[in-house]
Order: sequence, then C-alpha cells, then structure tokens
Amino acid sequence: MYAFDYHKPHSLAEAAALLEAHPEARLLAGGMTLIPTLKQRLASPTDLVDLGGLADLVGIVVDAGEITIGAMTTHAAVAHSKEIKARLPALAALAEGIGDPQVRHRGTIGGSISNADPAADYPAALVGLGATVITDRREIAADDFFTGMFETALAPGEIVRQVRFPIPLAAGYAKFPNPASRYAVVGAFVARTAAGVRVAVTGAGPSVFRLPEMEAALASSFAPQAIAGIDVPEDDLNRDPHATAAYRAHLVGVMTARAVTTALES
Amino acid sequence: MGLMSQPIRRTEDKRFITGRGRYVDDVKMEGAAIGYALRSPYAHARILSIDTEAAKTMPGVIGIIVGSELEAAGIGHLGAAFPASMLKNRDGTPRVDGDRALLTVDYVRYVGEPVAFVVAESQNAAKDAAEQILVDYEELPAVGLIDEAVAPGAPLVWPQAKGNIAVDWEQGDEAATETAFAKAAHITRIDLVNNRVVVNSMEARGAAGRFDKETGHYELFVTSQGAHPIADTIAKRILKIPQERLRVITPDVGGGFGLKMSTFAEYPLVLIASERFGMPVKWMSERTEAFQSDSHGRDLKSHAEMAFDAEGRILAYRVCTDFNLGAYGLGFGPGIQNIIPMFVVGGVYKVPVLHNYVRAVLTNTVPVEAYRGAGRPEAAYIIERIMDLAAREMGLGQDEIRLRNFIQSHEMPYRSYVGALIDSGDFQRNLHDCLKQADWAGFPARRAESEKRGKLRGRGMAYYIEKTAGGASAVDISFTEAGRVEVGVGTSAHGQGHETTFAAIVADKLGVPFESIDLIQGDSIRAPHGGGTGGSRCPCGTAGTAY
Repeated sequence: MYAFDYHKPHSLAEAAALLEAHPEARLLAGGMTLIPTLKQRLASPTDLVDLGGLADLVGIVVDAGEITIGAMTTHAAVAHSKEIKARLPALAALAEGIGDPQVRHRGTIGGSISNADPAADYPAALVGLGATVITDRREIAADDFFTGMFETALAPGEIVRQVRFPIPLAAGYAKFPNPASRYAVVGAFVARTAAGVRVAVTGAGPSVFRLPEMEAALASSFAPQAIAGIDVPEDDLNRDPHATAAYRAHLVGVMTARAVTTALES
Repeated sequence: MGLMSQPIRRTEDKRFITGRGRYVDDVKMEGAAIGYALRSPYAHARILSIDTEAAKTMPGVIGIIVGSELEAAGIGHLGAAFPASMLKNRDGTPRVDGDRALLTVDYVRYVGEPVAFVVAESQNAAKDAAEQILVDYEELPAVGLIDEAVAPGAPLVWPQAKGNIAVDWEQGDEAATETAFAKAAHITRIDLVNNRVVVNSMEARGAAGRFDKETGHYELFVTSQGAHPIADTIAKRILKIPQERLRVITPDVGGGFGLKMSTFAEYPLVLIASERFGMPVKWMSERTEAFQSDSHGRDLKSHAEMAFDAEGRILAYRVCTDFNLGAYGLGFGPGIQNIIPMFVVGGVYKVPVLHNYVRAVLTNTVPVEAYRGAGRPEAAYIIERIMDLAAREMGLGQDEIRLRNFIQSHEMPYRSYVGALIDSGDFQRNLHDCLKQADWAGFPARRAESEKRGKLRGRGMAYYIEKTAGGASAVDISFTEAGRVEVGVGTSAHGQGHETTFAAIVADKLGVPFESIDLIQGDSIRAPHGGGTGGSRCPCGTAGTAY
C-alpha cells in the first residue's frame, strides 16, 4: 500500500474536523473493502480516519416499532443480537450470511452501506425495509441513499452515525451467494408492512433497486405464487464471469419467491 | 511390533500447530534488502524500451536489474526438465519450449512475466520505485484459450511453433486402432474439458539469498520440494558455477503440489541481486502475484472414442488431447499430458490396441507445469468418463462394464498395451468389496428418499491406477559422538511428515530410540543428492533405501 497518515479520533466532531482538514482522507470502519483496496494500491488516500475509537457509534437499540443500529456495529453483533433475532429475524439472518466469520467480526453496517458495493447484502435490507440513514448532518431515506455503483447520497466529509429500521409485519431475505466471497450474485429482501409490501434486490444491478410490479402483486396476495410469471428485464443487469444478465434476471424471481416463503415462515 | 506397523504421533506436528514452523519468510538475514518483480500487464507485447533512471532515484531504492544486463553478464535461462531427445515431434523435429530469460528482454508473453527486479530497503519502497519504471510496450495480438491458439491464422506465441503447437506426440498404433474400430458393435465418443487451476499453496513462493564475496559462495533459502533440483538448475544452467559454490536450503514448506518442484526466476535473481548490491536479498510472493507468476495446472481438452464388441468388451481406444502449455515450456510442463501419463492410459482395463495423440499448445498465458498427479489423474478422468458413458449407452451397469473389462488377477503379471507391467491387483474383488461397503444396491431406495425431501442424489464410480515412485534416492546414515543418528535424504517434506516416517524406519532397523534420530533434508550440501519430493516417490524411492 501507499504511505498514509493514520488518525484515531474520539468524537464525531474530531473525525469531521480531520476530514475537513484532509480533503483526500478516507474513513476507516471495519476495513473489509478499504484495506484490500489499499493493499492492491487501488486507492491512495493521504490519511485514514479510523472510526474504531467512537464508542457511541456501536450498539443496537430496539423499541416498540424500530431498531436503531450504530454505524460501527459489526455484522456479527447484528447476527447474534437476541432482540433482532426476535423482532426482525430476517435482518439477523442477512447479517449472518455476510462473508465469513472474520468479515462478520470486523465489517460494520456503516462501512457496508457507505461503500455501497452493488453485491453487498445490507442495501437490500435498508431499501426493503424503508430504513433511514442518520448521519452527522441529517436523515436520509434508504430509497434516496443508494445512488449508483459504489455511490451514495453522502456529501464529502459526511459520516453515517446510525441506521433506523422500522419493524415490519413480516420479512425475509434470500440470496444466491458467490460460493467464494458470499457476496450476493442476486439477493432479494421482501417486507410486508402496514403500508404495503416492499421488494428490494441487490447484486443484480449497478445498485439496489425495488420491483414495483412484484410489490403490487404481493400486496394483493403475499405468497410466492403471486409473483410467478413476472419477468424482470435483463437490460440493465450486471454481467460478469459469475453470471450472465439473463441468469441474474431469472434469479431475481427465484430469490424473491424464496424471500416471501421465508417471510411467511417467520 | 515395530514402530513401522503402528500409529505414531508425528514429530513435526507439534512445531507446526504451535506456530513454530520455520518457513522461508521466517529466515532472518541481517541487513537484508527486499526484492520485488515488476511484471507484465500485457498478455503479449514487444518491449521498445525500459527506462529505470527515475525509479533508481526513489527513496529506499538500492538497485534495479533488467534483462539486458543479465544477458550481458552471461546469466543463463530457465527451461524444461526434459531433454530435447526425450520429447520431440512425431516427425522427429525438435519441440519448441520458447526461450525464457529470468527477466524478459524483447517481448512479454503473458500477464505476470517478470520484466525488472527492484531491490529496496522495504517492499513498499520497491513497489513505489517499480511504478516509476517506464516500460514502453507495443501491444500485440494474443491467444489465451486452446481453441483460439490452434485456429487458422491465430497470432503466434513463438514464430517457430507453427499453429502454436509446441510438440505433438503419439503412442500406440493409429492404423491398427482404426482397423479395430471398423469391427466395433458399439462406439462411444466423448468430449471433455479439464479446466485450468491455480495452485495456491498456503505458503506462497519465496526465496532469500546471499553471496559471500570472501568465499565466492552463494546461499539460497527457498521454499521447494527439493533443494537439489533447484541447486542443479541454478548452478549449472543459470549462474554457471561449480555446484559446491551454491548451497540451497529448504526449511519447512507450506504446500507444494508440484509447483515447488521448479526453479522460478526470482530464486536466482535474489542471488544475483545479493552479489551485485552487496547485501542479502529476500523475495516473497504476494497472493495476487502468485496467481500471475506461479505455474498453473491442468488445462486440456480431449476427444476420446472407445470401440466395443457386442458384449461390451473393449476392442480399441482412441484419444486426441490438446493441452495448454502457456507461453513457455518450463519444468515438467511439456511432458505433463504425454510422457508422464503414458503408462496409465488404458487404466485397469484390457485394451487390446490404442492410439493416443497429444499436442502441447502455446498460448499467452502463465506456463502450466506439474500439478497434483501431473497428467495421470487427467488420463484416468478420460477413460473413466468414457466407460461410464458407454455403460449408459449400452444399457450396462457402471459396475458391469468394468467387470467385463478388468485385467484379471490370474492374468498377472500383465503387460498392458502401452507397456506397463502390472504385477498385482484384484480389481474384480476390489470392486465387489467396494460395492458392498457403499451399499451400491441400496441406491434406488436412497434416491427415492432424497426425492421425497426435494433433493437430488447421484453417484459415481471411478478407478485410478498410477505408475509412480520413479527413481531410488540415496540415504546417508551417520552416528554422532553425542549419540544421535542423522539420516540424510535428498527428498524433502512439504506436509508428508518425513521426520516421523524416516525415524520410524531407521529406529526399527537399528534398534535405537525413535527420539534419537534427526532427519537431514532440504539441504543441497549436507544431504545426499536427490530428486526432491514428487510423484509419490518417497515411501518407495527414499524410505525403501533407508530400510
């Protein structure tokens, strides 16, 4: 990796000031993407600002209708949270399916969504549940947060503090994992809420997206058969050595149906 | 009862599982610099110029070596382990291995081919400097896949290898096979791809070397499957020095798989750099780099045909294989799919006549060399797949077609058509025992039970026979005044547990305590000359000598 200066602030204000002072600085959360990128010399930040010293960014709070997760909370903490398992098991199961044990004990929800990898799992949960991203400046609806491949609505220097999830009536997540990385070749998150049904798909396109036609069909009948026959156009989907766009389009239907089944069983 | 006939706790395991193994990267040489290889980003390109001036002024840089300097110094090249006479074209013309310099001078022929060797105070400094080396490449058309390479008009990897064929080779009798096929009641045909694999030893390749200018001696620590083959290659072929001026030591090794049998460019380069810059030099491959610079395995396409009589007995066997050699014929590469498996081509079956035609195909990819069984598992895969397919086509059981074609125990010693002398074996009884243990007959019930749960269930059957253990190897046994027994071998362990194996044999034979035996291995000076560990030869070739 290229040489950089390392900082470990102890308050959000201090972190923000460091980002302000060093325009080419990068935030370091769990480092599960950033560190390999640095090692391969694909990024050359002048400074790394490690959020590992900000204890108030870690933690899970569950109340009547919401679950709030601190940005520096690890995937393992979400996966093993008794309260999340009880109130929103689909989210715990999603976290348990990320990467491998090492990744789950280092990687964080804030890091994952800020990186916005097109094949990451968390974006599907945020959009599928209609979550809210809370930063050091404002609140951003999940629908507006993910703007493209590795792109978000975050302004330069803006830091994710928390993610707030409304607790749905039922939810499920199903993915076809890449067998080596466990990234989603296609992952579908389905949630049934008082306001209707949401379906969010990750891995298939440049960024997480919703499927209004399937949402409408599931709103009238929340069963896997309800979406049979709804074709997903392959035009804008990803193609790579792991799967063609046509195969991903096919998987969207299969994974969404499985997510509905999981939601019904929960 | 002797130690050889009972389980023993492995001597070396305590060291390995408590993190006290000592690998190449653990070798500390005072004042050592770090070497780093700048590699080609192109599959095929002409090098118009290499400018290292800016890079040499970077902080921490000690020096940079390029290929033209090695040529001027008379440094030798890498090459194949097979002499030209041992493997040539069917028409008697010599094969094409290509000419592989340690650092390429005029062309790069695969992504990852080393172009310059940077020596610096740290790996980071070396990488920073490598980025400042200006290589002017003229990109050329490239071929990666076998089909692309053999297509008419394909770009040539080496101009002297027409159609990108490095060597074509055959065994058996083409005309007699054709005659037998003409009488067949049934012919089964199959096309198979055995894909390329990257070896990925847990311990990556690495070397640390130093030159002593007082004595003129070189010392090389390298992760390998045998210190002697590497010492031989570097001394004779590359540095062109008397053998006694080079000592090669292989400490503990984290996985070989055939990859570590060969001499790679970075090994002599650390010695050359040490001599030139006056300090020890260490090079360790990174994981990403390993994918581009370690030799690969497999990568072949075969078309096979089997002729049967009306009772499902083999009349003749015909195979055509193209294998991807990569950009150079190095190490055992050129002979992997022809010479090495030639005695196991008919498997465990009575094959009256066969014809096996094999072409090595040059492509702009990482060279392919020995890997896990090296050609023999590939040969077994072809014949076992065609036997299975033939069974289905003729309505015979997978077991029945094999029972009808096995070499019978009463026919042994049996000289196979390809010349292998099979001296023992009872394949028929072995199959019966195996079917019984696996409850072969109970499969339909197991499958029905799986289907009830929405699951699929399949099964397979395959036979494997291997000609192995080539070459006996010397063993030195010496007795120290301190009462210890030193057993020196020219093979070395990369996971096999030889410290235990050899101690058990020697303790049993001499009646001395197991704990009093020290194995001397992986040392080209202290241990007797040997061919390294590969091809499953140690239990016969070396342990047999010790016994």
